Amino acid sequence: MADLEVPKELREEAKGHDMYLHPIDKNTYELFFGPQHMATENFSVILKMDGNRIEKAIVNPGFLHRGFEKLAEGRPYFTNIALLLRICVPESDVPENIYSMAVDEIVGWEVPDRAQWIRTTVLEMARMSAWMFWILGFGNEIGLYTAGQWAAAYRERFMRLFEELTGGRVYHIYTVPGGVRRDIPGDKWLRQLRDTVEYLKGKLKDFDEILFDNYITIERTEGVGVMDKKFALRHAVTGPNLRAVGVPYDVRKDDPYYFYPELDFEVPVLKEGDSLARVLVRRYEMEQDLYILEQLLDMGPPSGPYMVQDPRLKALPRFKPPKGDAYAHVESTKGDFGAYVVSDGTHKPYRVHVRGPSQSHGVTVLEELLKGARLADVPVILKTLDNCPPDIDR
Amino acid sequence: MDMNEKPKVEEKVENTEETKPELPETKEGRLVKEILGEAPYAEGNVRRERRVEFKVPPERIREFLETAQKKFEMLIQITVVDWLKEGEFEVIYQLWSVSESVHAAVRTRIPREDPRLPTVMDIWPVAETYEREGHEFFGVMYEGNPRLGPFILEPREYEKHPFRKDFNMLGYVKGIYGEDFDRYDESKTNYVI
Amino acid sequence: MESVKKPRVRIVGEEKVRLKKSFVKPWLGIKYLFKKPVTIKIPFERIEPAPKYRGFHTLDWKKCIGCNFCGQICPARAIEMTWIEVDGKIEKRPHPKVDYGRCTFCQFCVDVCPTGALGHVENCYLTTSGLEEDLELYDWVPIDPKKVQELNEKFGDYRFPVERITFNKETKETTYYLRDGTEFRFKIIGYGLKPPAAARPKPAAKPAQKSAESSKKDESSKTEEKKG
Repeated sequence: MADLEVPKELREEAKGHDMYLHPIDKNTYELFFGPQHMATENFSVILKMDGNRIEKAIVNPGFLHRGFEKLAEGRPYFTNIALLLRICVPESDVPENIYSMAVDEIVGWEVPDRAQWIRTTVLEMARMSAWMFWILGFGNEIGLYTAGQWAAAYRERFMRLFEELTGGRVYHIYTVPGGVRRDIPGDKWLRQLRDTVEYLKGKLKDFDEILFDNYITIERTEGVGVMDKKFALRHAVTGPNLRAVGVPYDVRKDDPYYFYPELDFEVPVLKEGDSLARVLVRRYEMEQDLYILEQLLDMGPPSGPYMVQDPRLKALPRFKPPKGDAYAHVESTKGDFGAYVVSDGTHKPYRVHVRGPSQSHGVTVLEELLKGARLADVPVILKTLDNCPPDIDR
Repeated sequence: MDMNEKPKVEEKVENTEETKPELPETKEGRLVKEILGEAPYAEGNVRRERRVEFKVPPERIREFLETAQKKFEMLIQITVVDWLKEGEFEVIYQLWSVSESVHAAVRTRIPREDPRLPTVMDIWPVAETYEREGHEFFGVMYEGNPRLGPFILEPREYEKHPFRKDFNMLGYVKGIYGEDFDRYDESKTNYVI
Repeated sequence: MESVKKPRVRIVGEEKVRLKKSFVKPWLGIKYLFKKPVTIKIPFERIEPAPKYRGFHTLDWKKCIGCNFCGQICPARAIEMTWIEVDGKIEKRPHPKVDYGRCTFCQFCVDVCPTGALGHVENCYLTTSGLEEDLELYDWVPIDPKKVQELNEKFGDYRFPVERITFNKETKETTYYLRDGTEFRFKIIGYGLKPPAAARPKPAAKPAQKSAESSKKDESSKTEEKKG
């Protein structure tokens, strides 16, 4: 696009515009969407616009590349937790857990029940706070700022709970290979968690009123960014986006880990595959996550150690797992989040490869869905796909 | 290993390797058997519950993935591992079967000097992203992918292939950032960035 | 959990998920106009950090054995072992010096400490104006936990326990001016795992390094040479 010859008078005309546009033809121009736009978070889409319609979209990631996978190759096993969790900001427990699960599998550790219970709870809490973060973003994109402000306030409750459990608010650095780093602070914390769950159950009705039942939400999202089942599977779309096209694939059900086989929850599936279906699937999953947390609290944490007993853990910086490799994945709010870890028997991993869900639905799928959409639909499509650029860049 | 019919017990006696003979009577075992029946050039075994793996020669990887596509609907990831000592890249196609709930790692090894593989974009369009990433970080040429080029990295970093094991990360960072880079000198033990 | 059979997937139909489009319902949110806001007015109200919040480090100098586990596990290489002389006596083992410009507050260093010498407190206010002296302030050998507790009880605002750090270039003496007015003096005589008295002069630092840290290090390495 860049090497197209632009007539001189069009170039002069472009200077008169408010935004700096690259006119290609009389009605066609190139628009750089992002990385400052809030919907794109930290990546940009180059749009070739025909009036208000998008002719072609090119995803331009890379603003967040920090080379975590390469950096992880130079650091001891446990240390990498403090590094890899930065891949997913809203739910930083997911990268911790996939990496820990993969290392557990390489070493052959049987994680104690208590640690598994805590990990399940932490993952569900992370999911819940990530949903709140998503409401904040989505509400802002379609102009319903009130819902976003509420969601930010409710997310604060989970952050407080995380602070007491793990000692950190956003980056918890809590799940490590072999278990978790701290025990539950006490029954008071469990009571607080139950209170929060009860509180949020009531608040979901408020979100229904103001956001999900809202005339504006439905009008803005219905029929926007439609994909079908075959397209979604061939593009490896996962998570709520896949469930919105009618495939009941959920890692918690299909490849169960931790306490999920013992929990009873439903998988919401819709057929339309448009933005509204994706929104509604997410809405229903929030309810299910609260229900899961309630079940976990009813079950209560099993007694026992919260970390495996292994003499090798005494010299943590020089901890050496055996040779091997493992793939582990969990269900995050964005989709199937996986990590592939290769160990060559030294105290540093030979290769860590993280598979973020946005790698599949953030590049090729986005480019396809944006074709023919209007400019105002771009934030809606981006937010209903729940695109997370750090997954792509890492 | 290239026989279509595999008498299980006899092979177990002959081969001490644990690859083909002991396919368990589970859904994973049946799945591997079915795919190996169609693609006898590959080796396959069951790692554990819901994890299987295949080893395929690089010339026939495309053919194999076309066969596997019938069972494995999704291409989750393409991982490249740089085995510097062997002088090889290991390319792992990670597949997921939605219908059977099985994860498959399809491994192939290509020489490090001239890493070439056919693209699988037409089987799974999402492979475009993964291949661009693998090309940028490791320099693997996926023949047939039209969009190989600078993707995540800056254009000046293209063709440097930073994820290869012999990439001098410290030297590169110092060259780019110069004296702003760090306050410490290199005498620090085990220096990493 | 591996042995448990895969549960039956229960799929929720459309009727349960689908909501009703409404034009009136969003106005119900107005009821929150009359409720107490959840925001806090920062100078007048304050949130206490949770107990065991991962904040600044403390170091019991008597317990520290200088094993460098903390330096090895540190993901950001924020920890450097430092040889220290207090009141004319050289400490037998090096002590970690933490650079908060690099620290990620993961506290893995606290976890791996075999004697429990390194600890942490809830103090979390890390703000600088970007001046050189501020940057020097947040690069310190942590002080005794009892002293930090004492300061916390006195002020209770979870700020950095040291107000100012000065380094005298002639006497190589570092002075910590604590917040309650007391002063704490010691000499930094070298860096690294090997003791400076072992006559292992460091290679001269490159002329490119101009920052305060490297100049400090130059000074220290020169002293070593003189001593050796």
